[in-house]
Amino acid sequence: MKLKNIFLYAAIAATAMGMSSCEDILDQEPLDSFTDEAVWGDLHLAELYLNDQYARLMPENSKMAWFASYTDEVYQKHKYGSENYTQGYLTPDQSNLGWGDTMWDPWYNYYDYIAKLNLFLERIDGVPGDDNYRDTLKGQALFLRAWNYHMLYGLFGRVVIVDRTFDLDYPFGDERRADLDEVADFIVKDLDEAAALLENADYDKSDLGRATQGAALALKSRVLLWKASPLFGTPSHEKWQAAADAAKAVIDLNQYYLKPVDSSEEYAALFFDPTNPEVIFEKLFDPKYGAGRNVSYLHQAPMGPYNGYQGWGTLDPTHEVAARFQLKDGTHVEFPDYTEEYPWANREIRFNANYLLDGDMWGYGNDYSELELFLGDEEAGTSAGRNSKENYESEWWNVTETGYYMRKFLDPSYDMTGTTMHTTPWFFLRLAEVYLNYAECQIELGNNGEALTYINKVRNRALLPDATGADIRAEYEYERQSELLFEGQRFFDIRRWKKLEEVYSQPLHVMTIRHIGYDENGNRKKSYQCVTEGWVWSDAQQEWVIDNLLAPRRYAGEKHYWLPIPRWELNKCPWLDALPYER
Amino acid sequence: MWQDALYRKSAQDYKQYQITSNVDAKISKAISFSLDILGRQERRNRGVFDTDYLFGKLLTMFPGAAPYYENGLPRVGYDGITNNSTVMVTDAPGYNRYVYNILDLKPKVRVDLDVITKGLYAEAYAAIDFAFNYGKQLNRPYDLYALEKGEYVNKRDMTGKISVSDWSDRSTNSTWNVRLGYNRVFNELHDINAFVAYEENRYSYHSLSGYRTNFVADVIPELFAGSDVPEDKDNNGYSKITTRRNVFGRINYDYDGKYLAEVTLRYDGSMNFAKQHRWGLFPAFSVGWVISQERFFESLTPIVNFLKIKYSWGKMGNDNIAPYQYLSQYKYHESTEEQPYTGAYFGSGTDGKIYKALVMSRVANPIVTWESAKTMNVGFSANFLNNKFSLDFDWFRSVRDDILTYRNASVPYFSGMKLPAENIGKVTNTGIELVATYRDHAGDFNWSVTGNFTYARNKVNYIDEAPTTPAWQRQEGSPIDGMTIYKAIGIYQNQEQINNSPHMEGAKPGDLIYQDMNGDDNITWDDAIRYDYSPTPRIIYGFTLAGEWKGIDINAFFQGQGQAKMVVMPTMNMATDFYEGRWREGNTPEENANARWPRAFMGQTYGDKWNGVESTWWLRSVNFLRLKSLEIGYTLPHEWTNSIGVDNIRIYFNGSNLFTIDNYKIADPEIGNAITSYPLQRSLTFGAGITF
Repeated sequence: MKLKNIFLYAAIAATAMGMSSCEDILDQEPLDSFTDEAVWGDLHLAELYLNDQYARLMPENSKMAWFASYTDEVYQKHKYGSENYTQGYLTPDQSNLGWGDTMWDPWYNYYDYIAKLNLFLERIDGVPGDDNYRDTLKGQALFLRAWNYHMLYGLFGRVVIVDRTFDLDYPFGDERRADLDEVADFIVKDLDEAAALLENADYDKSDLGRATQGAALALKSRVLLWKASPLFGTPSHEKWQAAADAAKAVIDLNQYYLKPVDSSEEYAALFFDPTNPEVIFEKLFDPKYGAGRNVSYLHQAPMGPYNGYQGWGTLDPTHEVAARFQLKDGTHVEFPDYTEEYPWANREIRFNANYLLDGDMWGYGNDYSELELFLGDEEAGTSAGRNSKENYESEWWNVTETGYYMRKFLDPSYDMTGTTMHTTPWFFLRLAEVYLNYAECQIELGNNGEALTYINKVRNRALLPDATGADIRAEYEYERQSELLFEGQRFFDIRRWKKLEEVYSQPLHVMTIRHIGYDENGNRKKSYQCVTEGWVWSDAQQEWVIDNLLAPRRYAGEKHYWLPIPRWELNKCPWLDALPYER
Repeated sequence: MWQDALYRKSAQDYKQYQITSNVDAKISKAISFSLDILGRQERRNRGVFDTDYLFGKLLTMFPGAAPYYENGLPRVGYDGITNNSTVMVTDAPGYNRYVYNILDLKPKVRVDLDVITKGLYAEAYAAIDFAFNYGKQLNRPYDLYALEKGEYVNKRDMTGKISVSDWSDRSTNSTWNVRLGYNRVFNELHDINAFVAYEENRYSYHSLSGYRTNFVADVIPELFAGSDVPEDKDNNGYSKITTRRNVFGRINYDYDGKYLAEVTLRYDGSMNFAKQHRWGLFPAFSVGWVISQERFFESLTPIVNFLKIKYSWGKMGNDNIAPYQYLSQYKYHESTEEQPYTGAYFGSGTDGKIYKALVMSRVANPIVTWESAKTMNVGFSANFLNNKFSLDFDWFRSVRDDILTYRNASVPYFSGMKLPAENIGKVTNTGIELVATYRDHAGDFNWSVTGNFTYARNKVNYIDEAPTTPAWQRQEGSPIDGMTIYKAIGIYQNQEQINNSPHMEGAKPGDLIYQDMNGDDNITWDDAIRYDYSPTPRIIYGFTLAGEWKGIDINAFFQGQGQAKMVVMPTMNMATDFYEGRWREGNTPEENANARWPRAFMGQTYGDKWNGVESTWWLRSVNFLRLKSLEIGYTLPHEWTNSIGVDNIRIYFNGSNLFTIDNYKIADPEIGNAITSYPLQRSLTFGAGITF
């Protein structure tokens, strides 16, 4: 074979190989992500980064364990980790509040969100573009950071204040848990700056759901109210005044008003409407499931062939709170232990909007029928209702333990079998809360008259007559509980008023309804009995005994007011204190 | 090849077709060319539910439930309308069919360059693998009945709508390799084999899919036949590229078959690292000495027929991490189980729409680079008893540095940092390997026994740990795959016992007793210990028995593992083992004192912290010995077969996974915790081989 032919062939082969390695194939750009320069070089991409934090906001109706379950408002039938708090088992090793990210691991998750917002706030000033747009984005980020800190403040109290990002070699070791007032002041500083930046935000209807000046000021009023309360430090005239001023600032914006209603249905419908004029900050859902899941239907709705999808009866409202609702004329009635008269007649409109009771009509389309929670009576020869605990042909294990269902937030026009999601929004901040915050501050400052004005604004919207002011504190607390029922505020209220022991010492009642016969018109006659104790099978004694029907709550001492810092964080940071828990 | 699934009435199977063609040609005296072509099509018919889901539903079924009513109608599931496994394996709920088409080409050319110097050659090949895959999934409603008030109600409209998902993807994996080599023997003693090569690889992938729902009927499962409403349509697509470049070379020297040496050098470039940290240099060498060929050994050769000792040392690299960790990356958020969103929704009614969300995936580590493993191996091979008995023994030690690991244990969570992989881990792995064979015959009967045994143990030299980790929990000095679990020492029999010992708050009689390791009179996570065994066995062994007599051949292969342990906790409808041996309030005190398991708890759903945490009580050995395959064959006598013009006919029976000896008892020990995966199958094959 001639040498030069060899070289020729070799050269051809080498060139063919060489052509493929002209560019450095190892220099690849990721095909599925943006670079640092890209994101922080364009305000629109920076806005998409901020959208992630909006998506992370956790509304109650996306959770399994609502804040209401840790209070006297709701009994969590399926527990979902809530027993850790209600039974007082919290320790650094067992620091989770309930199932779901922000409940299971609040420390980890909220700091994750805060770190992302810190990065945004560090970079946003350098992004080129329209100044007003940039200010709006910055204001929203400050609000969101304050939101996350206010959750940490509310759950842990003294937390580490982190307002910057870190690189890999940062020498941790100096950080400490700030004092309660320091944390509150840091949050308020962010909110003041946010309110200023958002004052001239150029929003239109498609921006509904974004943080606004009103939202920043309303959150400020909530945080200052907490700061002034007994749990979060020593209450003082200055603190209450600051909180009162913050609430008044929202009211004086004159951007919100309480929409008047005429009936229970209209009051209930207030919560389905994202454009409700009293809403200050809310979470909106995508009917096509793209923006988180609203699972309240699943957890609230009754069991049975209604609404297509059987509800799990997870959130059982307690009899205690239901029984406290006043009659339409503003008077209070004692709930009898046993009666054969319909006990819920003539209650104020919020009662029927909040609760779904035995005998109510419920269901979508063909499933619209009467809710039958009653048990049967052997002597009278009656059988149990379709939705009762004794209907063994259907999912009897999902029936409410307390005898009540949560109606608030359930939209009766929603079709469970359809392909769109239940999009009832969640109102994080609304005007009624601000009115009530203001009223509480005025009571603490001694201005009962001013307080009464605002309490009555809320009451009158619920078609109740004015409160008299005879026992202003009790009237205020009634209004706060009845208006903000199930919305999550109660958990923070009973803790900041240091009433956890009192609330947890009350056993829970079970409302048992029995079908005892028929009346002269052929309608069902029922008996209504509420007891806290009854016959319960005891595994220990292998016999039926009298015991609490619903597991009572257990107060575990002063430390029970706060969440513990989780064990792995304590292990990583030996310099942080674990108070009020022990390491 | 065609294979059915093990479900009854299943719509699931697998078919495969394959064609290969190897063509070799000599173009001229010095140039030869070859082309290998492989084409294969794999066709899979699956159901719409995946295996894990099906087995999960099967294992959690209420023992009193039945899949059919007495009149034969299929019944709704126990904990959800659709959960009836017998119907879910059929194609009533729909099907998922997909096809993989694979075409592999490998042209190769070799040029002998003896003209320049004898023994020199150049070789080049390209391995180009194409894959074109596509599939379609059809979901449709199906009949399930519920008995309500004496009537059988069809719940069909709760099983979903008709939807079709149609996807296709393609990928090209091409490797180019050029090599210059030298093979020559000098003076019949010095045998030299050397080469230097360059290789580069590029893999590119692209996928595209479309989806529509709310079809009127399922007879035309094509996207155009679906609903035209925008909310009922969806699509997706993405691409990916990975690349690699390597330069490597090797020199082999053999002197008279007595002294052997080899040196290798690799220079590898990976796209996973930044430009300055992309390339890694990995040398290796080994030497061997066939002592039995030495003159001074001659007198020993009748006893030790063959003896070779060897030593090697090498450094290897690993770059198997997610790419681009040296950059900060921002990605659109994908919907996951825990975070089911792709964006945030603003505006309401007709003004409302969803806006995408961008997430930073992690803090960048610009200096991330290759992990390296330095391995040293010393061993010998020997033959005894007239080459009837042969023995191979190796001792190895592998030190891995710069292991890519995360500092999750020491960086505080309040920093909110998502850490990248950093080259900080160090692990040492040591072990021995032994292979022995004995071959003999007794008259017409030939037989052999081969056994292999491996023992390996690793130790962590450095790993990120929290500064306050107690000594009994530290991972340093302990195997990397150990477990951190509580140490359980008994079961509480009565309340007095509980009050007199450190216990978890709320512990009751029947709960496990945990050891208070740090003496603080309280049971917390600080009392958990590092347990050095794991599901990864330290010992692996196997042996083969083979025999042949007058045309009958037998071959049995056993495989086993030892020193492996796993934590097995009751879950789903677990073995009655857990249920019957448990502590019960209704038992007599003697029965409870001998109880094997604590009192029943709902660890699965309600997070029971007294017994539901991992502890030494639940450890179970996953050692096993399995008859992996047994083959018995018979070759027909050549006189018979030759008379009909056939060279050879052999018929055989083969069984695989015939039996297993183990203590695990709940499932196959190799599956371990993945009890919802497709089970290991025992298969029996009959066959015949005919040679012309």
